[in-house]
Amino acid sequence: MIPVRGGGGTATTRPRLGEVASVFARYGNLTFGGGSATIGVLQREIETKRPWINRDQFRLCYGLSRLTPGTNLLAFCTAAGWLTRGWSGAAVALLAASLPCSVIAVAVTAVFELWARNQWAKVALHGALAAAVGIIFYTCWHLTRSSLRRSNALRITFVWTGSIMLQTVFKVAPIRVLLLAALVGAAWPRQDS
Amino acid sequence: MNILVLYLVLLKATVTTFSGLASLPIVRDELVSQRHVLTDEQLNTAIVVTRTTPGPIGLYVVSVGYFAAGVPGAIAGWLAMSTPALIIVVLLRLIGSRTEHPLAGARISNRTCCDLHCRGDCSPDDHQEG
Repeated sequence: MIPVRGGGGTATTRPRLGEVASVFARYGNLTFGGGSATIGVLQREIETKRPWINRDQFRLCYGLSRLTPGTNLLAFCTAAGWLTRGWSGAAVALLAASLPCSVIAVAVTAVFELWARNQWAKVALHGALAAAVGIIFYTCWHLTRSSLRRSNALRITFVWTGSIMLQTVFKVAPIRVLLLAALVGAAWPRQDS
Repeated sequence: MNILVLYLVLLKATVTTFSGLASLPIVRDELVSQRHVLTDEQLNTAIVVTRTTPGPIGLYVVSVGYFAAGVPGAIAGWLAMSTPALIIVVLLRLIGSRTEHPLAGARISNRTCCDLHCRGDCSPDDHQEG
């Protein structure tokens, strides 16, 4: 590893591509609990244990990953890979963080598909599907909770009710509902007080 | 189903949303309601798979792709999940260089601290004025 100095922070080291692949494959794929939990583990590995990026760079990657569409964890890994090794680092980190878990997901999906033909497994699967609906409700609550304040109650109720009405009554496509909600969000800014 | 169309449909869902299951309404509308290549039960199973395997929650599009078109569909799903991540490199090049400005740097830092605080990983020393 070659020591380099990251901008605005402590000295960092430049890893080999194999090391980038190894760390992102191990910690990007084998951590349960979603993106935030995995980023917490990756922070320990690439900022604290091996100083590939410094605290400022971690903050930059994390902040920008929240502003990037799609899966935040993959955006974070790509950014961290790019800061350490440029485009090749970004490509390797993205592949290492997304490919193994995708292969596992396909294998498990194939098993679930086979199970669906078995009567007993079908009953068990229905229980799991009910849990999945519960998980979706929890995710909705988790996404809404951070914005729920008395000062924002009217705004959130308006967008929430409007979205449901547009989809169920007027059959507007979800992408149009999202774009309309974004326009409402821009025209009616959040009150943080 | 045509793999390129499947990729574009899933990409439309992932590139217009900012968290794991937020793309679900678009995926359901396109693949269950309009094109009928997926059932509600398969969509639910894809979410169960994502929650029982390690990795990001957005991984469910890979499982959706598999249900819609087998292994090639899963590859389309993986590409649709991974493609938006490359946008961050453009953001890093555009915004990263401007974070030397004290106000821009402090804003990104404070936004990061708010998120880390929710995770319990932020110390008071991490906050900057701005």
